[in-house]
Amino acid sequence: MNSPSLLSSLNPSTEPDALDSIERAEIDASTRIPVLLFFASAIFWLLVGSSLGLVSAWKMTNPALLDSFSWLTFGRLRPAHLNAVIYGWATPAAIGVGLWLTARLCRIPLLHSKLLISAAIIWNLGILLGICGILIGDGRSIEWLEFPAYSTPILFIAYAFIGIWTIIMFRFRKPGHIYVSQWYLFAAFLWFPWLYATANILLVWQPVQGPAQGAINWWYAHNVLGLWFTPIGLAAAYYFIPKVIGRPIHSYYLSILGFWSLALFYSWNGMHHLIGGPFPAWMVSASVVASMMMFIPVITTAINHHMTMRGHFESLQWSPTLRFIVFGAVSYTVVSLQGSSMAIPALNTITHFTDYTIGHAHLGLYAFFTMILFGSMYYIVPRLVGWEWPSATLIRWHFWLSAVGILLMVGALTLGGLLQGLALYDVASTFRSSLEFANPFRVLRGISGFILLAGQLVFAFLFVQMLLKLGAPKKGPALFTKPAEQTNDTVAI
Amino acid sequence: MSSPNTPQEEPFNESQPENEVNIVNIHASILREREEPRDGYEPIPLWLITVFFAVIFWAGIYLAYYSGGFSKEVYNPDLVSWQGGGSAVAAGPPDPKVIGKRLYTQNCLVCHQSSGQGVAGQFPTLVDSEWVVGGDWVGDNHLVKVLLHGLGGPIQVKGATYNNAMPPWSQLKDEQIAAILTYIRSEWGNNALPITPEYVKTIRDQSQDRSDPWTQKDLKAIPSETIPAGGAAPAPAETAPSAPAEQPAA
Repeated sequence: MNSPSLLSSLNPSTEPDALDSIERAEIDASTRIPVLLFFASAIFWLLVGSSLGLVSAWKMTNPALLDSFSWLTFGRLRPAHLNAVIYGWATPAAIGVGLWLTARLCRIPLLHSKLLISAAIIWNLGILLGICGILIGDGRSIEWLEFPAYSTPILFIAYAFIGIWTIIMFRFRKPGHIYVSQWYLFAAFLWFPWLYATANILLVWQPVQGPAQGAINWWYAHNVLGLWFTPIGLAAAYYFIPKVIGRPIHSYYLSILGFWSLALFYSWNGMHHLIGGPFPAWMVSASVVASMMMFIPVITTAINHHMTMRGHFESLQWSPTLRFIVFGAVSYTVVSLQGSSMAIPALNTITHFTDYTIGHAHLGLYAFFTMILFGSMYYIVPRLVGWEWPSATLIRWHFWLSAVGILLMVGALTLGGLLQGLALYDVASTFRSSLEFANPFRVLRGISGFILLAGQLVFAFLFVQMLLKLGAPKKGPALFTKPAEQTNDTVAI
Repeated sequence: MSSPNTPQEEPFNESQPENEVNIVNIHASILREREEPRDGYEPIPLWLITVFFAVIFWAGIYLAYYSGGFSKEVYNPDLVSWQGGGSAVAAGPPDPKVIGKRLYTQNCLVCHQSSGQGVAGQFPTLVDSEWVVGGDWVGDNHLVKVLLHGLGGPIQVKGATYNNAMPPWSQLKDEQIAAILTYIRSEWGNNALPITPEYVKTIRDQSQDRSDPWTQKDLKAIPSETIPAGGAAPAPAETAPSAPAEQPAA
């Protein structure tokens, strides 16, 4: 053990006490196998899902590409891409981050890791079956629920294990204050099975008739983003920002307002996908209103994060975790405000059924959620494997490839989608001309896909090095830049 | 019953020897990390509360205008009213000239051009053409017949000769043909009565057995008719039409 400095001996409250560190070490060790299992499988599916997405992106501009294989037709590739990244990458990675955070925040070592290890294995079998099912042509024509009926129950069983585990952990947590991240985690872990079960019962097992299917479909698809990915992403941001910079979150009251307004308004949002559709006016209008009300949780959370960061922005220069997380948190604000604006009927008539929506989806899932997941992994993985990230240069490459790639993709799709939408809206213009407007931007989107995939390969390479503990052992953390002086800010990361 | 201290030991035990050696190494990242996050207790700024109440106020107004009284029967009016600004604006039937312009762009523009001037010697002009607005021997019935079955061979339009083939457009619906004709009869300074879908249907029924495109000679043999203002039934032609330019949508 290091001998304590004079300063910390005079003022012990500035130093975490030794017992606390040992507890943390125990907690981290107990999460090692399930969390790494979820992370490793998630990274595998990220590479698969991105490759599927890349091929479908190029098929938009070159329809003849690979058209001799029925399992590589656009109608199968695109849902395979979506389901691989949603259920193969984002969900398991979110679960991994969620497990680690839950154990830390409950302040007890992880219970029943066998339950979680089984869940991880069963879940991945379900994904494998589901993706193969879509590619051989068994997919269902329900967006976000394309997995064939034989893989859905497997996924639900795997998820049920995790939901049960969450309740057990919460029940046996150490008494005391419940930090804001845990509200989000606990809620998300219970919201997801509710969404997934409801949608599958009402759309697959006992399908409702007529337009109500569309309403349930979009209620589900939008809530996966808002009541599953968003709360986990925010839980991670609420944890890692104060953790890395070492100061309390700005305001408990803002946290409360942000959490409950999200819980109150989000599940009404899905109907804004159906503006102009065959639905009673009040359903769509209520959704438009709820979408605008999302300003409240979004602005509240943005202020809370920004005020916490204030005065510590220089930490973005050296901390990989913080840089990814802050990129994600800023993207959360942007994508949410954009989403609210897209619910305004006047704008929706232009952007609906165009690439603009695709840009919005990637801004949410990649620039916000995936970047938060990357940042969290940069913090969690060294604590699980007992090894420092081998190369700051490669992390830097990963960050810039991801950031530039996603900004190029979102920028191209947003601009192309607007031109496409204006052409579609113009009665004197043909459908074909709307595609001609979108085409050059779709080429750019295809290029951005290569950039993102390159970044992911760098990250996968780093992750494998971590698992196998390759490279020379490092003393300190992998920082982007070596700060001029070793301050408290730089060594704590 | 799950007890909090049974399963946690497993991951620890399995790498016990390594743990002993690496205890400092493994936990270097844990030792250097900051305390667990805590809450600060800054108050919510007053301006933020004001903004939020403004949003809630707006939400109430919006729902009052666009919820359709929360009735399961009201589907549409509110989706239109955002354009006009008041819930009183109801969705009328679409303007046939707007539909006609789109159909013209998709189907006719390649030959007759966006200016309606056509191509000299091949595709006749539609601007102030007796074939379009009526006059000489040509009536509205001829115009509809040309669109339904096409036209071939040399023809005279405004004294000039054109020679090419126009394909039949009978695959278009009565409403679509009516919309196209209404559009070309009111565009580029043309000013003739709209053609109604009912009138197109009448002519279509009359010439059901025609399969070849018309020729100028065949058409000349048919007496000309003019569509009456606001009516569907054909009436014999008297003079060139001089009706109001705008026909209010029904």
